[in-house]
Amino acid sequence: MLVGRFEIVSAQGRGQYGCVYKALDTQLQTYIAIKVLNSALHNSEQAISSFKNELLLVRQLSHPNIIRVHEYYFDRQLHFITMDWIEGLTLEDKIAEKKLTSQEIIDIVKQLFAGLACADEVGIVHKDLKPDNILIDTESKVYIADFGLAALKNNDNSQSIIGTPYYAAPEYLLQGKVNKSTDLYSLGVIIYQLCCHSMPLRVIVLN
Amino acid sequence: MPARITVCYTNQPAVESFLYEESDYRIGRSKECELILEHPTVSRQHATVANLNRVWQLNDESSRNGTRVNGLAISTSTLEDDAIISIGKLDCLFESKSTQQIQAIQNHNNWRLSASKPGIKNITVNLKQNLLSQLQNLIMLTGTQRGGVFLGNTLQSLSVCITQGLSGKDFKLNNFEGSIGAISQCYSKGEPIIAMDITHHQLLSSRQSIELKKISALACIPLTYEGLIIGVIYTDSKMSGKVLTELDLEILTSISLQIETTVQAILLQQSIELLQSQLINSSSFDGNDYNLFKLCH
Repeated sequence: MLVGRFEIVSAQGRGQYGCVYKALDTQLQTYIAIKVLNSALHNSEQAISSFKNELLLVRQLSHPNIIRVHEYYFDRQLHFITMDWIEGLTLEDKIAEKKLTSQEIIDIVKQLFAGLACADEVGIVHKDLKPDNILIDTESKVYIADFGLAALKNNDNSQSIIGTPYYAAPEYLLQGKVNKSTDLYSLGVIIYQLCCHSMPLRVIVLN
Repeated sequence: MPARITVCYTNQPAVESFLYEESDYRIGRSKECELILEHPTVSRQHATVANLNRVWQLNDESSRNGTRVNGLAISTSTLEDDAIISIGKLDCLFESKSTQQIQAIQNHNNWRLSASKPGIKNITVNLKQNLLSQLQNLIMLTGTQRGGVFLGNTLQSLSVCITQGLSGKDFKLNNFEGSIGAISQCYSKGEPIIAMDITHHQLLSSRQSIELKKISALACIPLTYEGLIIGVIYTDSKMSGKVLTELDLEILTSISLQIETTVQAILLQQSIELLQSQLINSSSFDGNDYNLFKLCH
């Protein structure tokens, strides 16, 4: 039992920021998602602090297409965040199935734009938008996950993080520049992938 | 099923009580009541609540200001989950809770309280980092959304020390996103201010700007140094239905003391740095003394 309240039900997967678990909130009797941060990410007190600051902004985001972040906790030497539990698949899985119709693609993209527009209004940039952190529930509702987690990359161990650069805007990837179009570039790549079943750029050489 | 009743005072922490099926509860101002509500609109023995055949039932006991359930006046009413009971003008939230849920609430509250106590894990050599970490803890352990530490001997001289989840840029009293009314009261009273559902709060609701900001709960705690107020800690939430309980106040008080100590250390450090620069710039200093000075620091 974590923080006297959350009971882990099952492990769901491992991403670049940490492991995701399905857990029961015994206080509210509902399922939630718990993301336990990679130990490599929390060696820097400063990175954790900037992550928590970002998270406090993200926690104020209230939009049907953005996964609601509940709380950040530190317990039993684990740094973790709690979020809404979404029963469904990632957009990555959906793309792999190759069953999306044109109308379904339009619906997905519209919802993604709506979520990003809400974040943009309060000046929050995702910085790591990709099909792997977009979820689609059983009623075809789209949710953007992992807002704020990119702040964790700003530490000394960033080299050890394995991420995909395909969706990152070149100026962000090469110079770390973030602006209003950072997420739009990623969404552009996702739209291309949804429509063409391939990536717009096949080879990226990074130093 | 047992139940939780949360008495939502507008200007003091909410009080939570748990109701168990095997007991009857008298609600009122009298000390003889099982649920004592301290409010002038509450009669000495205002109402009773009891579980009959697995259903919670509320009875008004001929009170002077009446009892309402979800806004409707009642003499007797069954209570559904998430009902708002108004005892006089005091609103209470009624929620059914299983024994397991009550246990989880109590366990989690114990964890929150222990996590708010100062510990070695929180202390780093970087004072500003400490301050950030303490403010983040305060916001997260009380479940508010944003906050800040503001320093100044008076309300007018207030400046931003740190903020979290709140824009601290170009801080001006007239465009502050939070409640200046609460900060102002904190300075005048010199004690913590807690306000909830402030559209009903006597002192804060008169400020139209606050109503527009839709803050549902806030806390403001004075920071003192040698008996004088040197600033405030401010935190609030726009989340509908957010209440700050007595436990939250205990957590706020505990972390505020830690923040106060860190602020005092920062002020002390700034004084030392000022003295150092005065010493270094002093023309009467000779080389030997300067080496000694470096050795001491």
